[in-house]
Amino acid sequence: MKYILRSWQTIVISTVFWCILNESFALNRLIEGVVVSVITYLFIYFLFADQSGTSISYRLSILALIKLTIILGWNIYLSSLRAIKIILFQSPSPAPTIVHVHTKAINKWHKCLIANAITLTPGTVTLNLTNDELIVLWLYPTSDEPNEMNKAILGPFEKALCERSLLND
Amino acid sequence: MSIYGTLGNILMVFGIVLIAIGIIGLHKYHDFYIRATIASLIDTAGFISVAMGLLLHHKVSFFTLKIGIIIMLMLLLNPLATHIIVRSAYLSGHGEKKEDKNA
Repeated sequence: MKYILRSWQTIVISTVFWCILNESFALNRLIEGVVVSVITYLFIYFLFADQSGTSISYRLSILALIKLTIILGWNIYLSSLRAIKIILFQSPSPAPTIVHVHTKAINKWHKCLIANAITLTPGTVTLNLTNDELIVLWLYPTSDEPNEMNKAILGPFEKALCERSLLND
Repeated sequence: MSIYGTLGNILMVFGIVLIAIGIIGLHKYHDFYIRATIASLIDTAGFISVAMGLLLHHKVSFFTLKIGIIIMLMLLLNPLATHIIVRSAYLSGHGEKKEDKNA
């Protein structure tokens, strides 16, 4: 029971998902949703979760999430326009470079979000993540200088996450 | 047609244009890494534009909520697939090579 109470947010979100997929918020659908969510949660907890007490905290403030989404959307379209320019008008082929950048994020969940945001932005793909170092494939490198690279690739996403939530963990 | 419908149509057309340019890019370049980075133009910008266009085009309903779930899942899972493919190439020693064809 304590496992279920500890993750009530996951169960609520899963129930809402269930109701949306079934196109109904009727009582029987809600009960079905809660039962399916609890069973699924227990399966995941006992089969996959790290029960040694060192599991990752998925906490993230709503404000940081909204900020990250807006910055991510803006960067996706900005990079898309740059990629379109390269595809349509650049005659010599671009020379993608593999660069190493360092993130200030200390929380695994935030590192994962930053790596995800980098891959979502057209022109950059995260290849690997070790401790605080990200190996990134960069389609149109604009600088060789580490600080400039950090600023260009990680800057906006770190700013969105680090300002508030990282200090809390 | 309402303003949301018009905006939705514009976004959908923009998304289709992005997807078309992405496909041109995939055929233009032959290097694996360039293709992988250009593919994200189709996966993210193109798909998000089309899906957001659909969201705006329809009134709030279970259909739009389902599209919202699809967008959210796509934002979480698509980079994972791209990352795994490119990481495998990187770890298996696939080097960067300069394109010799000016397509």
